[in-house]
Formats: sequence, C-alpha cells, structure tokens
Amino acid sequence: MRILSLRLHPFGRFPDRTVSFAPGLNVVFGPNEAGKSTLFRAVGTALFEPSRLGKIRLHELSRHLFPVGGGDHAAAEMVLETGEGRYTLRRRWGSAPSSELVLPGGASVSEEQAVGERLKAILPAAEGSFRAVLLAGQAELAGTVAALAAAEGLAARDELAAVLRKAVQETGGVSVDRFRRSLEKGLKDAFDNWDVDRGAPAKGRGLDNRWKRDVGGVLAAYYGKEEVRAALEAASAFDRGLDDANRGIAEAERALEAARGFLTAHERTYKDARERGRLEADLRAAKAEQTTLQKDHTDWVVNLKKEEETAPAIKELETRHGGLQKEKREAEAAEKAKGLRDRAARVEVLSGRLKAAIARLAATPRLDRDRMEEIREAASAIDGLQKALKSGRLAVQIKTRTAVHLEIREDLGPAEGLELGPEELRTFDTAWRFGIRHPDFDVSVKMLGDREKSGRELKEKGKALADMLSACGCAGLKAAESAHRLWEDLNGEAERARRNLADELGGETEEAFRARAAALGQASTARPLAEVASEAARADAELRQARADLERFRGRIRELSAKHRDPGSLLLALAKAAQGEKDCGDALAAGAPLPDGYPDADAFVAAYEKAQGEARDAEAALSGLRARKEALLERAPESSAEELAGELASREEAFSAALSRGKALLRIRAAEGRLSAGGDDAVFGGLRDETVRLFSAMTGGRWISLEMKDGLPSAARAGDGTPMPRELLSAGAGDALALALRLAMAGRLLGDGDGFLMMDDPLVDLDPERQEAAAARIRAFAAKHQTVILTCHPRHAEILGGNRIGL
Amino acid sequence: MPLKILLTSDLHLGRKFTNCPETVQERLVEARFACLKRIVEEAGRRRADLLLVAGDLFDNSRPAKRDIRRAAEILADFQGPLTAVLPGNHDFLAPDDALWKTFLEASGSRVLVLSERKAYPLSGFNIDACLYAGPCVSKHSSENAIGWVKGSAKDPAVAHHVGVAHGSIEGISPDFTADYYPMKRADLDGAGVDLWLIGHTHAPYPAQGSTGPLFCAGTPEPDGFGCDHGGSAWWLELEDGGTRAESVATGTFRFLHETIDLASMADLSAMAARHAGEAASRELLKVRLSGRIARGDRETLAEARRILEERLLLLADWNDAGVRERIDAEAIDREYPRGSFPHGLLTALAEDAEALDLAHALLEGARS
Repeated sequence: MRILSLRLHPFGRFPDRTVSFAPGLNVVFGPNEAGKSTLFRAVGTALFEPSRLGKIRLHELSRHLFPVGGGDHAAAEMVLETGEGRYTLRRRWGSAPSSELVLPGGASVSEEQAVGERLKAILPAAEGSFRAVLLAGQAELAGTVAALAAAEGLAARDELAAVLRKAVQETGGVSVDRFRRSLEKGLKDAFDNWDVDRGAPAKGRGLDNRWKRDVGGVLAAYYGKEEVRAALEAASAFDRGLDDANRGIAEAERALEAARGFLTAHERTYKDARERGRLEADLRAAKAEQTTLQKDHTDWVVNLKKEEETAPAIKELETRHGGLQKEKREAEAAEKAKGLRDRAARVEVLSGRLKAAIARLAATPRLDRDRMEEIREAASAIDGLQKALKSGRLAVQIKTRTAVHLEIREDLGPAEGLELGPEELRTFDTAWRFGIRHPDFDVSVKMLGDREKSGRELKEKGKALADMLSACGCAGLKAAESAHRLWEDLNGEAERARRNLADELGGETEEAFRARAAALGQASTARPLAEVASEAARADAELRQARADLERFRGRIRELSAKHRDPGSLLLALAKAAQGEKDCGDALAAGAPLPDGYPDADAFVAAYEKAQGEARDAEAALSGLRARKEALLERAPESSAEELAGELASREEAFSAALSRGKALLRIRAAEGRLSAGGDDAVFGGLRDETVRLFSAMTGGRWISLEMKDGLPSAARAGDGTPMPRELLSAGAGDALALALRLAMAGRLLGDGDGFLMMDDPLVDLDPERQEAAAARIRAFAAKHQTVILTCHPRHAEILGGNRIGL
Repeated sequence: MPLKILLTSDLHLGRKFTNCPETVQERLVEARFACLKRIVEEAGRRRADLLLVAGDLFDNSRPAKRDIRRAAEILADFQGPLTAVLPGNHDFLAPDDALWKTFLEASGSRVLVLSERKAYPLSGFNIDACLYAGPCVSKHSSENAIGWVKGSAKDPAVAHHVGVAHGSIEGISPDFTADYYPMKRADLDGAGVDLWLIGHTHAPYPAQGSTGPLFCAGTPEPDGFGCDHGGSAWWLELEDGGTRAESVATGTFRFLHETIDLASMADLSAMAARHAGEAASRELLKVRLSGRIARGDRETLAEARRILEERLLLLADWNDAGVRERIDAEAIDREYPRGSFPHGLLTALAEDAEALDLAHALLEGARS
C-alpha cells in the first residue's frame, strides 16, 4: 500500500492543501513553519484517529487539528493504493465529525468501526508499528530504541517479533512473545516476592514484616494460611491460658477457703488464747513472785538464825586467835635464837678448818708464784744459753795407737774418765769446749768469742738456779714445780677457809659473834614456829570468814527489811501472791482449750495471726488472678480454635494449590525455554544483521557489530572489538543506529509487500559524511518501499534526491 | 418400669460459624437452639424420665447471657421429672464465670447441673437412679474426671447407677495428645456403674442396635464439615435385663463432601442430582473435582457450580483445580500444526496434566 495523495482542508495551518506522492523516495522540503510537521501529523491522524473523539482526546488534538486562526473542525482526505485498487479515506473531526472510506469499485463505508476495520485490513502494519517504526517523527527518531523498549512500543515489537518469527519459526498462530509475556506475568503474579528456592517469602519477610505491595498469589496464600495459623495458635494459647487462669483461681479459692475455715473455726479460741496469754503471763508472774517471796522468807529466817549463832562463835575465835598470835611471837623468838646457835656451831667448825689450813701452809716451804717465776726464768735462761752454745758444735775425735786412760770434760761438765783401746776411735760432740787430760798432756779445745761468755753466764745462772732450788728444798725444776703446786693448793685452801668463815660471820668479828652467841643462854621449849604460824593463820582465816559471814547475814537481813519492812509484811505479801496465782489458774481453766499441737497460747495466737496474714495474701492473690483472667478474656479471639483449625486446613489447601500452579508455570517456562533455545537467535538474528549492515555503512565501518537484548540493540562493538553500551554512543552514532534500526525494522515489517515509511528530518544530527551514507541507505530502501522524508535542510533534500515536494 | 433417658450432648450453643456468610451463620446458629427445642419436645413426647445433656451445651464458658437464659428456658420446658446437664470441656465450670449460676437462675427446680464430682441420687425427683458425674473444670486436661467413681459406694437399693462424663474415649475419639479428659475402656468398665453416658465425641456411638454399656450421643445438630452425619440423640430404656437403645434423628442441616474424579459429565450430573429438592436447601457442601474433561465441558462445569450455588444453603468450597481439559496428542494435532511452537510445547508437557492445562490456556490467550 502507498499513499497517492493527501488533502488537508482545513488541517492545522493548511486551509486547503493537497500533496501528491510518487512511488519510491519523496522528499517534502520546506522552511521551518512551512507545515512539514502538520503534514506528517496529518498522515497518522487520518489513518488512526477516529472522527468521533472524546472531549479529552479532542482537546489534546485540537491545537494540531484546528486552523490556527480558529475554526471548529479539521478535515483530511487521503488516497491510498493497494494491490486491490484505490481507497479514498475521508475524515472530519470537531463539529459534524465523520469518517468515510471509499473502496475500490466505488462503494463506501462510513460507519466508524467499519472504516477502522477496513483500514486495519489494508494497512501493512498495525497502528503500534506505524507509530513506533513507520511514522518516525523527529523527536521519536532520536529515542527509537527507548520508545520501542517502552510499554508503548510493545505492540510494535510484538508485531515485529511475530513477523520475524513467522519467517523463521512456525508459531501456529500464536504470538510467542505474547505467550512468553503472559507466562512471565503468570509467574510474576504467582511468585511475586516469593523465594521459590527457599519456599518462603522473599527476604524472609513473614507475617511480622509482610510485603504490602507486589504480593503474588503464592505469597498471598502463604500469608493467608499463616494468619490463620497464627490465629489458631493464639486461640489455642488463649484456651490454655484460660485453663491455667481458671486452675489458678480455683486453687487460690481453695486455699482461701481453707484459710478462712481455720480462722472461722478457731475465732473464739483465738480471743481466749490472747486472753490466755495474758493470764498465763500473770500466772507465771504470780508464781515467780511467790517463789521470790518464799525465798525471801526462808532467807530471813535462816539469816537471823545464823546471825545468832555466828556472833558467839566469833568471840571464841577472837580469843583463840589472840592466843595463837602470842605463841607465834614466842616461837619466832625461839626460832631466831636457834638460828644464832646453829651459826655459832658453824663458825666453830670453820674457824677450826682455817687454823688447820694455815698450819699446813706454814709447814710447806713457800714457793709462791713470784719465786716460781724466778726459777722458771732462770731455767729458761739456762736453757737458752745451752741451746745457743749447742748451736755451734764442736766435733772431737780421739784415736790412739795404744791403749790409754784419759779424763775428758765436755763444756762445763764434770771431768769423766775415758778408756781407749789401741786404734779405737771415739767421737765427741760438744757445744763450745772439750778438755782432755793425760798424765802426759792436757788438751783444751774451745770455741772462741761469746761462747765463752755464754759459758760463763751459763755457769753463773746454773749456780743461781741451784741456790733457789736449794732454798725451797727442791732438787730440780720439776720438783720445784711440784712444790709450787702444793704450796698454791694449800694457800688456796687456807684462803677458802678464811672466806667461808668471813661469810658465816657476815662482817662481824669472830670475837663479837662469839660474845653474842654466849649471851643466848639456854634453848627455849616453844612449839615449832611453822606449826604455830600455820595454826594462827587458820584461826585468822576462820575469824575473817566468820566476820564476813556475819556481815553477809546482816546485809541480807537489811535488804529484806528494806524490801518487806518486816517478816509479817512478807508473809502477807506471800499470801496475796498465792491468791493471785489461784485466780489466774481459775480464769485459764475457764477459757477455750487450745487445739492439739500448740504448746501454749502464744504459739496458737502466732499460728492464728499467721493464718490471718495468709488469708489476706490469698485474697490479694485471688484478686490478681481474677484481674489477669479478665485481661485475658478481653483479648479473647473472635473464632474458636476448632473453627480456626478447619479454616487452616482450607488455607493450606489453597496455598498448596497456588504453589502447585506456580510450579506448573515454572515447568512450562522450562519446557518453553528448551523448545526455544537457539530459536530466538534465528528469529532476531536477521534483524540484527540488517541493522548492523546499515549502521556500519552509515558510520563508515566504525561500528561493526551489535549486541541485542529482547530484540533491541543494547551495545555496539567497534572494529577493535570494544563494546559501547547504546546509551553511551555519541549523539550522531545514536541517531545513525536509530535510523538503521528503523530502516531494518521497516524492511522486516513491510517485507516484500507494499507499504510506506515516513521520517521527519532523519539526517539532521549526522555529519556530512554520514548524511551521505544515510541518504544512500534511504534511497536503497525507497527503491523497494515508498518513502517520504520531510526536511527543511536544502542539502539534505539535495543528497536524498527523489521526488521533491515543496511546501 | 424401665428408666427412660433421652441423651444428647455437644449442642455448642453460641458457636458463631464465622467461616460462613452472615446469612448462613444466622441460620446455623439458630438451628442449634431449634434442635434443643425439638429434643425437649421429643423427650416430652416419649415421656422420658430424664433428659440428659452430657456436656458442651454451650460453645464456651462465657456465652452471651441471653443465650444462657434461652437455653435454660428451653430445657425448663421439659415436662418430665428431671433435666440433668453436665458441664463439658467447652462450657466448663470456671471460677467466677457466671454461666452456670445464670443458667440455674433461669432454669427452675427440675433442672440439675451436675457441677461436682460426686454421686447424685435422683430419688428426690422420683427417679430410681443415681448419677455419677464427672464435670469438666477446664478446656484441656490430661486426666479424666471419673477416677473417683470407682471408689464411691453404690447404694444397692438404687436400681440404676449411671455414669455421666465428657471427654475422649480410647479407640473411639481421636485425642492424640491426650488433652481432653481421656478415658480408657478399663476406667469405664471398672467404675462399677451400669451405664456410661458420655459427651465430647461428635459422632454418635455405638452403632444402632447396641445395648451399651457405653453411649455417646454425638452432636444432635451437625456443626461443621468434620461432622458428616445428620445429627441424633439416644433414646435409652434401662431395665434390669439391659438397655434398649434407639437413635433419634434430630438435625436440620447437613455438612457434606463430594470428592469426584470425573470420568464424564455424567458424574457431574449425578452429583447435582444428589443435591436437589428441599433437602439441598439445608445442605452445606464442599466439592473437590479432579479428572479430565473435554474442552467444551468447562462451561458445563461452571454451569454445575452455578446450579449447586442456587440449590444449596452454601457451596462452601468448589475446588476444580484438579480438573484438566482432555488434551491428548490428537487434540494437540488438531489445534496446532506439527512443528509449531504451541504444538511442541504442549507435546513436551503431555505428561504434566497441570502444566499442560495451564500452557494450553496461555497459548489460547496468545493467539494472534
């Protein structure tokens, strides 16, 4: 089908204008405001806008339809040619709206719906495809892909996809894309916000945080059953809570009843018991008073008697005590005299010993320390001299050829005879001198020097020593030592005897002491002091004790007198206390007996008052339980657990059914996916290839391939393989892509049949080189399908060529 | 003279039936009071000595006062010597709850509430019998209320010793968690009474013709889809030789199920025929259908549904999700060309009835 002519009378700025179109490329050229857009709009309006418009739609179109200067209607007449012949379409909008389609052969259709259906039959594509692809306004051209991707472009895409599929795939009269969309919609409706894998609401959003929007069928059924389950759980919990509350109340009531029963049963006993307590206390007090008074009375009597007995006893003790004190003094004196006599005896002994020691000492030659020291020094000096002399030794050998008799003398020693035989050798070792005497000769050998002096000294000292030893009658040093030790011992003994005597005398001279001792006279016959003293001490203690007792007795009597005045008054008080005890006893006997198990009234009263407290507590507890029960009942569920259980079963069934249906849809999708795998590529591959071809040609080979998504370009690839998302292409490249896509889609939609493509200024955003390339592609398209290009650019018109229509 | 008892239980007066539409609710609620009235009239007509309600006269322990008074007044109309009512596990004896106090105030001197676990000699009512009562004090209990009966003294001068209780019975009523005063047969048999009259089980027990010694009245008016009988009470005549029992129909409404695997539309017609006439207007029905039908039979299905909705008191549920169109290979071939997408898809889903049905509907909607 192609447009032969279009008459606008009026329409927009045209009061009456007819434009004729040739086959192939038509370029409608005119400056801005010449009416190109009006012409463009008129084509779409004439074909697709019914003449009877609603108020809103009429208002929307009015500024485009009605004459600029004013007017109440617009009209258009379009002549179309198809393989069947010519059709004339007449439409009038606004006042007296009308539609007419004159058919080939002259018959006409003027009923609105019939005109629309007829047009639908003869047009090469549906309205959606026209508006999205075949009637490309300038603004829409730029947004081709977005427009096609939007919901409004859906119909066009569907139609295009159906066309494409039909070419590749037998669809059985079913729009596969519409099927897929329905399937996806069904899946979305079923599984919106439902996590199929987990079998639960998406993101775990259960009842507490439920999804409010986008709630799919499965999720809704899930929430439905869970609501009922929650209600059932609440109802069951309510039932059990109510049971517990009632049980608690029943127990509390029983406890309260038991407590009250006890209280009621023993009320009188309690009253009496409280009184009993007082009476028992009074009784105990009366008994205690009696005991005290009794004791006081006994004490009084006893103490008086004891006072009577104790006074004379004390006198006797005092007398005895005095006697013993006197005897004690006498015994002390006798003791003292005895002591002096004993001392005198000891002095006598010690004096004797001293005399004996002095006598023995006098009989011993005095060899005291000093003298002994002199002897030792002399011996030591002699020893030293001897050693000094011995240190230098004189060795003498005597040997004669004949037997001789000699007299020898060594050092200062005596001469000694010596008989020597012929050739007999004798050796002598002396300190400093050796003398030999023979009848015929004398030999004296001696060391020269000090040795001689030493020898003389030795001799002198030896003589001195001998004298000292002789003076003390000692033969030698050892004897002297022994004599010294003896003298020292005797001296020490005498000294000790002297000290002992002096100690015994205690500083007194012996004569004075003896005089004193002589003055004692005869010894006394008194009893031993220890005995007397012991007896006196006992008597003293007895006397003190007796006095203390007497004081105690008298003190107690004073105390009782102060308390009771006199024994008579005490007896009176005792009688009164006895009467009080009797009165208490009588009163107690008259009261209610205590129940078993209570030792006394106090214990019972305590138990009763405890029971009163427990009863109060039980009442408070019961009130609390009742209040809680009321609060629980206020939250009673609307439906019973039994009803909810039945409802839950239904809801669970509904959920299972929804889930089953959803899963069936998933299985359908899986089956469809297996069936369609690879199919889509075949279906849309051709469109992609054609678009790439045109796009590459228009961009001078800069872009060589496209990535598609849902049948639309999503990215372009350059020669080096670099992908560029469609949104990031330059404006020129984007426009070139849009133009290429439109041409490819238009080509697929129109196929080999008649049809037309109308575009408003498609080359405006391309550079000159690309304009040339695009124009070439447009011309190639126009060679197969009527193409109408509207432009205000002379150069565009020039490079496009074709049938020039001026406005 | 035999002792004549009309036994009922589980009226559940006051149950709201919230799952039903309001108009249906009203009728079902009212039906229970009407049923009680019919039972009282039947007991009077048969000259029963004792009208016995073995528990759950009311649906809960705090029913509306007007319902309590109404029930009490209905029972007070019984002309026989005595009506005895046992508190069950729904209308249990609760401290502070006014239910039984209000009931007694409104019911008169010939109505006895068996509120204690004790023996109730009925000589004062000129009935030569003693009732041994096991009333409920809560909704749930893991212990039954009849343990005391075994040890109680049975006056040999009394002709009939009858136990009255409310709870589940081993082997008769389901109580998997033993929560509803569970009773074993040994407990009942060893209690030393002549007869046990027990409420709680909504189905009557035993079958017709039995002579006891255990009778469960069942609910006299069906109260839900778990109750598929028509409602009845037991008429019992106790003599020295035993008990004669007769089931007395008392119900008005029926809760029914139809589960049909459709082999043909004739099955649907037969179902519709079963629910026709006046009786259908007193039926609540749940329908579950499955099977395969011809393509055009969906309309018939819808029509059947419409008819039932008109006839029944309530079509509570119509579940035909299990019904699929008969889509066999031949049907697919007829409808879609071989090799086409729809043909391939339907063939691939041929064994998956639910998916096949859905896919077919989707394809229908996607026809261009």
